[in-house]
Amino acid sequence: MEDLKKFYLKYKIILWPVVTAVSSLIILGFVVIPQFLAYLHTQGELTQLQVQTDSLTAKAQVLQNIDDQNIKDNLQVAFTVLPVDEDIPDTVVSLQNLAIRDSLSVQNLNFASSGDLTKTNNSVLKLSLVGSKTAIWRFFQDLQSSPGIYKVQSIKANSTGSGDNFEIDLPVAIYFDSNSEASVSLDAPVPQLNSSDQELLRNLSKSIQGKVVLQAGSQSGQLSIPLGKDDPFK
Amino acid sequence: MATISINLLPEEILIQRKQSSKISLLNKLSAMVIVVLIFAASATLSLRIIQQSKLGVVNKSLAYARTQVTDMQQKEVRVALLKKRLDSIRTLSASGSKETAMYNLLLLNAPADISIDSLSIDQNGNSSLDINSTSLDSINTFLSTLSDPGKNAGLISQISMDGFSLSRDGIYRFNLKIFSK
Repeated sequence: MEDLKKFYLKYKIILWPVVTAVSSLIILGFVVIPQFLAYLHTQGELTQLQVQTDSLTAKAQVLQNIDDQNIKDNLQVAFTVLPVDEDIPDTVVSLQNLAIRDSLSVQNLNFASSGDLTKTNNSVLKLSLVGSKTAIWRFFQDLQSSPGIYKVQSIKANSTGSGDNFEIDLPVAIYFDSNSEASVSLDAPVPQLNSSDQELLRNLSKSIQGKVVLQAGSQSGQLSIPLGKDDPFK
Repeated sequence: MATISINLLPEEILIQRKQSSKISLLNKLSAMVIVVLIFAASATLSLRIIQQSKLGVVNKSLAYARTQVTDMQQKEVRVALLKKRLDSIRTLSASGSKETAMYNLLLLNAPADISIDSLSIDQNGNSSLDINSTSLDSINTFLSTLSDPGKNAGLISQISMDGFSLSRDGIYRFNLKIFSK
């Protein structure tokens, strides 16, 4: 006790300042500075999270405004025009009917798979037709406006000797796209259909409405053409 | 008259008083520092507590927004697929058909006096025709049309004629090779 008293009397001047200094350092080093640094770090994190939340909320709003049925209908149109696989029987019937409608006689029709010229797949249908040059031109026009993507790869025509008629060999490429998947990510924006996409969809829908179909169960095998215009050359 | 002050206190007491005032000042400063630091620590801790509660709210909002978007993922996939499909259709449809355009130019625009025996158009639009005609004028007209950029729709870059002959029956026969642009 006496020693303590002596110690206190000897160092009483500097005792309180030393205790204060040590406490201050402890409070600064273990409380104030770490907490302040953590505050700054968390503030950055908070800003990021808020931005993410705002973007996801906006994305949810955009998705909510999209008419799902309309998208499904448009998908059906797109897959009719560019199908997933080569539907050879249906395509053969369609092209035959198109040729007959345009007053062309189908001499031969055979199918050959071709190598990919583009990223999408295509098959080649070789047609041999006989008809007048205007009928053949009409056939090309109708091919262009029919549902499905058809490309005439080459033309070989020989005059039959009678009037305006030609025998024509036409390899026609029929395009399809077997890729029927799309991937999306949470952070990516919703893909938007622009005005050019909307216009394309309108044109594709129109071309599908004019599709020539062969009615099943018809005894005489007559063609049924629900839509389409008369001879444009009249 | 100028006043004279005389301090009668002993020197030791004066020194003691000076020391006491120094100690007192030091103690006051120390107390102030401690108070300020305690205040700073409290303020920092309060800020952190408020920030943590804000963080909780933002995390909840984020989780809710994520759930909303995930629930509509199928719809988003359909839109993406439609966009992709339309882009493919547009790319495939964009490249026009040189072959049919060349057919139109050669067969449908040939004068009535020109007879085309055979026509071959390859996938680049390059063509070969076997032609016969009784009229040189019609042949000239046909060749003028083909070589006029205003009339051939910019399809033709070069024309060459082979085997031009005139038979006894007055029919001109020749082969035309046409190179597309």
